[in-house]
Amino acid sequence: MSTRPVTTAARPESGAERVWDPLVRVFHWSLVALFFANVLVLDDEGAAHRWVGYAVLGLVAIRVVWGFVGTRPARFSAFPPSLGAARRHLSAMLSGRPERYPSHNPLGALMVYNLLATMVAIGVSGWLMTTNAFWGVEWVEEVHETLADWALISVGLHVAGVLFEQWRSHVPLVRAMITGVRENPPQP
Amino acid sequence: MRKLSPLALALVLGMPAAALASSDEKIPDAERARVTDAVAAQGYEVRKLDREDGLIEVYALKEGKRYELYVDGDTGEIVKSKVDD
Repeated sequence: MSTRPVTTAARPESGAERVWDPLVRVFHWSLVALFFANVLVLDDEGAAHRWVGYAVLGLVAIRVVWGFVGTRPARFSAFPPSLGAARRHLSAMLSGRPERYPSHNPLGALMVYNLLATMVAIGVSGWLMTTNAFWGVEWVEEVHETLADWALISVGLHVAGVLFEQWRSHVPLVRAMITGVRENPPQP
Repeated sequence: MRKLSPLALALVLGMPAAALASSDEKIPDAERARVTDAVAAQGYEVRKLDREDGLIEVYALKEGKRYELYVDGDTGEIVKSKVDD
């Protein structure tokens, strides 16, 4: 599989790179739609809420498989979870150093893992609520709802982080998740 | 709709959280005991009681099936019964 170089020092004016393949993009926006449908629209005791929840689990499962076999930037190996890298990334942000990453940046990567894990935990706790063993058991419901709140907070932080990074780096990140192409400005 | 943390809402949408808050009023002990006993007497294993639309919603099990029962809090009478499938 061929990938373009991350930094195009030789041709700084043409910094367009294909980062997000169609599966990643469809996954991302489907997850947005299904998650918000479940949190804001659907009756949480209804059948639709359940099926949407299971669909979210299915989406995450597909994304996890894609994280091993997908295109290069979609693979987990392209954005390994690393607190050290996140710390360095944070200090680079604070000192205004421009940085480029082949996939999610290190802070973004941590958020992706957080969101994926939270979605799984929400889905599993929601499923438990439909089992005889945990039917009407309050702590399971509280776990489910607290996780959903945590997911909402995470989404807020995710969006804020993306918008901040977009403003800081002049790379239109939101558009990249729509078109798949990341337009990098010339390196200084 | 379930209660959302106002913080989460404020962060994400800034929606008025009050509109989404559920009525979380306490069920008095006497009423709770009356409903629980009445439902248990019919063979249900009671898991949880909630107030909903003037009735008590009871999460219960019977013969391996999950039920949502709507019970009159004064009489203990099961007004409506829903099997979860």
